[in-house]
Amino acid sequence: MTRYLARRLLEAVPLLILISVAVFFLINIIPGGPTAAYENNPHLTPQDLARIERELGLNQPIYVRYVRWLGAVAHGDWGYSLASRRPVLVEIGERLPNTIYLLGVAFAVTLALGIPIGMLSALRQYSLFDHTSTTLAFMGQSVPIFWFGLILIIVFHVSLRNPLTGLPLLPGGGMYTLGEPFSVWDRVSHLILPVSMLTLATAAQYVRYMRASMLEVVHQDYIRTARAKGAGGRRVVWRHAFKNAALPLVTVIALDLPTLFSGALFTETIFSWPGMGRLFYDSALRFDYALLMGIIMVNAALIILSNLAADVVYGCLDPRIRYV
Amino acid sequence: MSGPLLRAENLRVGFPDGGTWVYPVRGVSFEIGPGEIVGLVGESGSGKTLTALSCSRLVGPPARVSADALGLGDVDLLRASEETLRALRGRRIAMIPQDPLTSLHPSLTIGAQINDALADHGVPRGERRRRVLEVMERVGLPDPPGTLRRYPHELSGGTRQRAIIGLALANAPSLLIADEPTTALDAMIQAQILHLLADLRASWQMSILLISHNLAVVAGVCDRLLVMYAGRIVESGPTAHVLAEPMHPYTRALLDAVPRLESTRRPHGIPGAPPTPWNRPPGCAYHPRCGYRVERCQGEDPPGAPVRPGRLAACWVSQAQGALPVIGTVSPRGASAEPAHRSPGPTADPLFEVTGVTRHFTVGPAWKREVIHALDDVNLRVHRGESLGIVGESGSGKSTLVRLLALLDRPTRGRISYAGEDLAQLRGARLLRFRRRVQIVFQDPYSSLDPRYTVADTIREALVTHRICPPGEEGAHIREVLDKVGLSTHFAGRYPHELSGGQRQRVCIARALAVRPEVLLADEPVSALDVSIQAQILELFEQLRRQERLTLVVVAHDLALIRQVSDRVVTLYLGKVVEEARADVYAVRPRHPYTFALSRSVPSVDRVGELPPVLVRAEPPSAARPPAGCRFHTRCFNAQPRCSRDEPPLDGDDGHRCACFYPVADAQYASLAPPAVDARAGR
Repeated sequence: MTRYLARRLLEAVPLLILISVAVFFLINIIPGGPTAAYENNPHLTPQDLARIERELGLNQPIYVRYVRWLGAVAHGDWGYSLASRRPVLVEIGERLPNTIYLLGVAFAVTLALGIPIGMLSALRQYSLFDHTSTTLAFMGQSVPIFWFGLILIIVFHVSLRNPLTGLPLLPGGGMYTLGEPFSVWDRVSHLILPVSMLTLATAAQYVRYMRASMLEVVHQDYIRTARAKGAGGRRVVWRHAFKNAALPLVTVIALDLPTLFSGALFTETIFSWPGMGRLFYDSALRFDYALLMGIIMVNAALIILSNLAADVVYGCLDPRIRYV
Repeated sequence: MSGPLLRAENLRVGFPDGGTWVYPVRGVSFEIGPGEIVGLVGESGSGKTLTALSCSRLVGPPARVSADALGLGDVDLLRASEETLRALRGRRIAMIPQDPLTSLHPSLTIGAQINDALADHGVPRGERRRRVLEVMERVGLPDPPGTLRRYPHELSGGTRQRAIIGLALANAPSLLIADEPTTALDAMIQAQILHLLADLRASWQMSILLISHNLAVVAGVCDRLLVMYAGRIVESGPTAHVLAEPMHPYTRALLDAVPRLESTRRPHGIPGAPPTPWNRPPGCAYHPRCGYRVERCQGEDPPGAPVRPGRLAACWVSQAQGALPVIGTVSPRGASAEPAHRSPGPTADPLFEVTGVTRHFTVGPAWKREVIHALDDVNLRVHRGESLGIVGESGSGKSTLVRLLALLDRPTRGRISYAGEDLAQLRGARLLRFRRRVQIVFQDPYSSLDPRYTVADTIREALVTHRICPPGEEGAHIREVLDKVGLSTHFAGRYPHELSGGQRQRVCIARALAVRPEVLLADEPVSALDVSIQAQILELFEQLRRQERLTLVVVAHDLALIRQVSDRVVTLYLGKVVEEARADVYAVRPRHPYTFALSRSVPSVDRVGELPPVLVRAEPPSAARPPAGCRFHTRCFNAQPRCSRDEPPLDGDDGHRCACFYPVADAQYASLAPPAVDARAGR
C-alpha cells in the first residue's frame, strides 16, 4: 500500500511537468499580453512599453521563460502576481480555503440529495416518485448552469423581498455581509444561491447514476441469497445493495471533481465569491501569467490527488481490487 | 411420520404480458415429508427455479403466485405477512442457489456473511463466532478460522459452493431447497457436495428439494422424483421405480440423454427445445417432441393421474396401457440399442505434433510474482481423422492446451507443429490458411456470439475473411452450413438472444464449419447446456465427423461425456499428461489413480440410491506451487514415499500410457468402487 502510494505520487511529478509545459505554452500563444492594457495609453511611448516588457522578461524566447519559471518553482518561488504585486502563493493561499468551503458544502448537498433520491427511485422503480425524480434529474442535467445562476439571482435577490425588512430575500453575492458581525445565518444565507447553482447539475447526475447502479445490483443473485437467508428489508438495502451499488459512484465522484472546479469558476464569478475560480477569471483577463500558472498547477495537483484518493477508497471498499 | 413439511397444491406463477397473463408454472402439486429428499428434474425453462422460489415466496412483482394451498408445516405461505415470511426464510426454509460466484456478496467476507445470517435470526452476538465456525466445520470448509476472513473471489468454485451451503445451514432450517447446486462444478466436487447433502439428511433429518437438469445427479440421493416439463409436473414417483420404468416419454428421453461411462450406448438428445410459456403447443405440451404421441395428445392436455400405486404420470399413453410400451425408437429421431457407429478411425498421419510444450503465466505484482504452471512438458499427437478427448478438472491446463493448438496463445517453451509446419513460424498467408484449417468452438454459447450480429452475419464474416466463396454467393453457403448443423434457413436472420442455448451452440459450430476446416477444437462445448441438449450436440459432432472427415479435439471435465465422443483420451493433471489411452480402455480400466478417481466420481443413473465414492480430496493444489515428484501424490490413495521424490515418466505402448509408479491394481477395482451394472443395457 505504501509502495503503491509512493509510486503513484512519483508518477504524478512528470505528469504535472507535462501539464505545466502544455499550459505555459497555451496561455502564451493567446494574442495580447500584460502590456496590452498600456498600448492605448498616450503617456507611454513604445520605448516605455519595450522597457516594461524587458523588466518582466517578456522579450525572452518562450522556452527560456518556461525553463526559468520551472527552475524558480523547483526552488519554491512561484513568482509575483502582476496585478497585485503580491506573491502567487499568498494570493492562492487566501482564496483556496474559500473555494474548498464552497465546494465542500456543495458536494455534501449533492451527495445528500443525489444518493437517497437515486436509491429510492430504483427501489420504487416506475412509481410516481421514480418518474418525477428521473424527469427532474433529466431537466437538471440539461439546464446550463450559468443561466440557472442568473435566474436564481433574478428570482431570489432581485424579485423576491424579505417581507419583514424589505431587503432582498437572499444575498446575491459575496461570502458574508461586509461590516456586519459574524453570524451563522449570514454565512448560510450567502451560501444558499451559489450552492444551489453548483448542486443542480451534479445532483441530477448522481440521481441517475445511483438509480442505474442500484437497479443493477438489486437484480443480482446475492441479493436474492440475502433475502433467502431471511435478512430484513433495511439490511438488504443498505448492507447488501447499497454497499455494492456505491462502488461505481466513487469513480464518478473522482471524475466529477474537475467539473466541480470549473463549475466553481462560473459560480464564483456570478456570485462574486472570493475563491479560486474568480481569481482565475480575473487573472486570465489581465494576462497575469505567474498567477495563472500557479492556479492551474494547484488545480491540476488537486485533481490528481483526488483521483488517487478515489483509487485508494475504491480499494478499501472493494476487496477484489489489489494494488499493483 | 406426521403430515408433510411442505405442501403445494395447484401452484401457479404468472407474469403479466401485455394485458394477459402467461404462466411459466401452471398447476404444480407436490409434498415433501420430514427428512425426505425430493428431486425436481427438467430442462431449462421448465419452471423448476420459479417453483422453488415460490416455496419461500421470493418471486417478486410483477409476478403473481397463486395456489389452492401452499404451506410449510402449519404456516400458510400464501397468506403469511412479509414479516412472518422473513422470519421463516433461512430459519425454516433455506436455499442454495445455482451460481456460487454471483450468489455471494462480493465485498463481505465469508465469516461476515454467515454471521449476518445468524444475526438476522436473533442469535446473540457472543454466540455467533462459535456458531459460524461450527457451520463452516459442518459443511467441510477447509481451515475455518482462515476461510472466515476470505472474500468470495479468493475461493475456488467448490469452496464457494460450500460457503453458500454454510449460509443456508446457519440457522438449521428444516427444509433446504438446492437449485442446481452442482451444475457449475467439476465431477469430483459434485460428488462431495452430493455426499454432504445426503449426510445432512441423515444427521439432521433435514428435508431437501434438489433441483437438477441431470437425472444422474438426483439418482443417487433422492427418495422421490418430480419430473417437470413446460410448467407442470409430468411424472412423479419413487426414484428407483421412475428410473427403472419411466411412465412419461419425457422422463425416458431425459434418461436416454445421460451419457454413461460404463456403457457403449450412446446418449440421445431430445429433439427440439422445450416450449416457452408464450408458445406452448395445444394439448400435451410435450407432444411435438414425443415418439409415443397419439392423436389425443394433440388436442387434450393429460392431467397427472395415478398409473401405478405411488406413481403419477401425465401421459395418455401410459395411463391407457399402465406402462410405456417398449418400442425400438424412443424418440422420433433416435435409436436405442443400435451399436455405436464409430467414424473412420485415426490414421497414422499426425496433424498436430506437440513436443515438450510448457506454458507458464506470470501473475501478481512485482514483489510477489508467481509463476502459474499451466502446462509442463506436454507431448502429444493428434492424428488426422481421429477424435481426441482431453479430460481434467478445473485448472488442469486443458483450456490452455486448446488455446495453444488454436494459436490463440504461444508456448513458453517447446514446439507445436501442424501438418509439419512449426506454428511459431507461420506468417501472412500461411497463418491465414492455418486459421482456416483449424477452427474452435467455445464453452459458453451465450458470450461467444456477437449479440449485434445476426446468425448470417456471423457466418458471413468467416466466409469473407477466408474468401471461401465468390462475393455475393455467401447466402447459399450460409444455408448449406446451417442445414449441416440442423438449423432451418429461417434462423439466418435471427439474433443470438432469440435462440436457445443449444441453438446458439449450433450456430457456433456452423460458424466454425463454414470455412471447411480440417480440425475442430471444442473447449467444453456442452457444459453450459442441459443434458438433453448436450446429447444433441454430441450427436451432431459425431455426424459431422463422418460426413466432413473432421479431426476433433474435445476438452471436457466430464469423463462419461468425453468417452462418448473420443477415440483416444488424454488426462491432464496440473499441467502434466498423466495418462493416455483408447476411450474404451479408459472407461473400464484406467490405470492412473487420478483418472480412476475421476471416472468413479461420475454419477450414474444406473446406481439408484448410491453416490459416487469420494476417493480423493476434491481440491487440487495450487498450480503456482506444483508438488515435487508426482504432482498427484498429495491426493493419491496409492502414494508411497517415492512418489514425492521422483517424477514418474509417461510409460507404456501406443495403446495405453500412464505416468505412475503404483497404478491402480486389479484388486482395487472391486474394493474401491464396484463398477455398476448397466441395468438397462440388455433391455
